[in-house]
Amino acid sequence: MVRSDIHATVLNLVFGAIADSTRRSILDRLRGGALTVTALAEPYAMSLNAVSKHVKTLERAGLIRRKIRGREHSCQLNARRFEEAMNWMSYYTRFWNDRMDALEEHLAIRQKRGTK
Amino acid sequence: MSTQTVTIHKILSASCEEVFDAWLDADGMRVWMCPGPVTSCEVAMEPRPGGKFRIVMTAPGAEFVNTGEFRVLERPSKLEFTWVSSRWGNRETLVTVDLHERGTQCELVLTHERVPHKHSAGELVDGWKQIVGKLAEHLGIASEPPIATEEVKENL
Repeated sequence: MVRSDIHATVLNLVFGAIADSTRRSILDRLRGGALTVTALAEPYAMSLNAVSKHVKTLERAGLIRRKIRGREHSCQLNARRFEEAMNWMSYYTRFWNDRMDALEEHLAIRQKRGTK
Repeated sequence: MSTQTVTIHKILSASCEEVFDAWLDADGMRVWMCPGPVTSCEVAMEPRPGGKFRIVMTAPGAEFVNTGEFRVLERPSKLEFTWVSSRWGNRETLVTVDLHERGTQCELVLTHERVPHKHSAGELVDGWKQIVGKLAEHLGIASEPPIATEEVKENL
């Protein structure tokens, strides 16, 4: 129970983090490899401080890892976190879609037989 | 708080009554509830509000047990049930099936939500009762559950 509570908290952090378009864009750009916070902030029309806050949110959710070298903070994607959250959704999206196809077929067969 | 939700839409060439009944027909469900590698599917259910169901899916080298309880059964428009799967750490989730009549067809909208875990007041009271009981045991005195419960309720 305790373990699954922690699991749920992690998932809530993950989904909260990816609910924002800037943060999704940051994650997308990190797919190419690690970037410093300064380099990450460059394309956005917002302060370095604002970008840094987004980075912190992503970090708390465990979606990225930050390495500090002197004054430079470099950010790296942590892909494992994604998988955990996405697996549940993709599993059940497929599961229920397939089940509903099977239900459709089942109903069609029953109708052909004329049984109700 | 954000939770995960999966929504599925499906138009079925059947009446909503037929679709609704299919969800409560254990024999029929054995046929359509078997996902991909699952070779056999056992379904047992009590088709009434508050009734429980149990679906055991057997795949080569694996067995998944899905259990739940019917919360809402409103023929022919709505079913709501909890869904607890051994495949996903036995966490309680919630499935809602809404059925809408579309001419001679039936539109099915299935929503599956991961519900954030909330401690119900009842669970808290039970938890405190146990703690109070253990404390009493520890102190070498007999605990009197009714008194402990009253005190806990006051504090909540």
